[in-house]
Amino acid sequence: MASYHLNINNKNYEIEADPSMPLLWAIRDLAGLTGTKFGCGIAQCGACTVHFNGTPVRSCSIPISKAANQTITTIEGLSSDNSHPVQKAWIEEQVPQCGYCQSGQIMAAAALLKKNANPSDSEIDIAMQGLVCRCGTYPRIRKAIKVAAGMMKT
Amino acid sequence: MKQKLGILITGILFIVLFGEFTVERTDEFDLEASIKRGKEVYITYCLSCHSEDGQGVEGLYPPVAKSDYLMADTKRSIKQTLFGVTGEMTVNGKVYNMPMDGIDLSDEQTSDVLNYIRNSWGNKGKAVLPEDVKAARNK
Repeated sequence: MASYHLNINNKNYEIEADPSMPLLWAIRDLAGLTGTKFGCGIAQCGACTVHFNGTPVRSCSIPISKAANQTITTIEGLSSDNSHPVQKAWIEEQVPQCGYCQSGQIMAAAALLKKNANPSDSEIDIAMQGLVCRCGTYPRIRKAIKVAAGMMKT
Repeated sequence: MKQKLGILITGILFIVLFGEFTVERTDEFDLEASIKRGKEVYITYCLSCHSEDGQGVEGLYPPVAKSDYLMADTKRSIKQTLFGVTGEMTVNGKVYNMPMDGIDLSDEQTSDVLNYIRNSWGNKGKAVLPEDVKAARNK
């Protein structure tokens, strides 16, 4: 066991954990932020996507020792009141069906729009590739990303 | 006489050109096509860690763009793509230590994805042929 300083959503957490504990475990079980979901556990599905210094990463496959003293943002940190354009667009377009993968989808979409304010269909497809939705909400995800891009412009 | 010489020269030229043309066609590996196919492999298997622009994530995943480590050793890259890698590695002066699982790719897919990353984002490398992958795989 070791002690780690985590900065999640601009809040500091002192966490005692084994160095190899996945960041996702720490986020959900030790910091108590359960918006980020466990999907496959092997970085293949994207449900556990969070921002690591602004970049979308798979938190199930990053040891806590690598996340110490870095800036982590989870779905809870995107906004305090669902006012982030991606969240608003998701609601407007009624994107989720079962919803399990959606916090990962939203985090990936938010990171994409920060880098590319006006992504084309193929740019969206490339950025969102590897974020699996078993309900098949992909067409709505794509549409909502465009709606969010529009909101961000105004 | 002049006419005969003309025909002879044309004939020789034709043989030389045509001969070279056929030799090139059988020997030439279409690197451009391989790079294009490799992009799809990269998007599917590599992008979520090494990112779309090949920059990786600082402190976590090493860059493949302008990567001294990648470009230094083709055989090592083939083996790491197929069988994974663990332990420390120094890429562009920075130490990374993040395990990568091997990916179950065919010889052609491996050659394609390596040709893509070795010829994108400022990288420029010699073509990696499926035969090279086959040789490295079985060693």
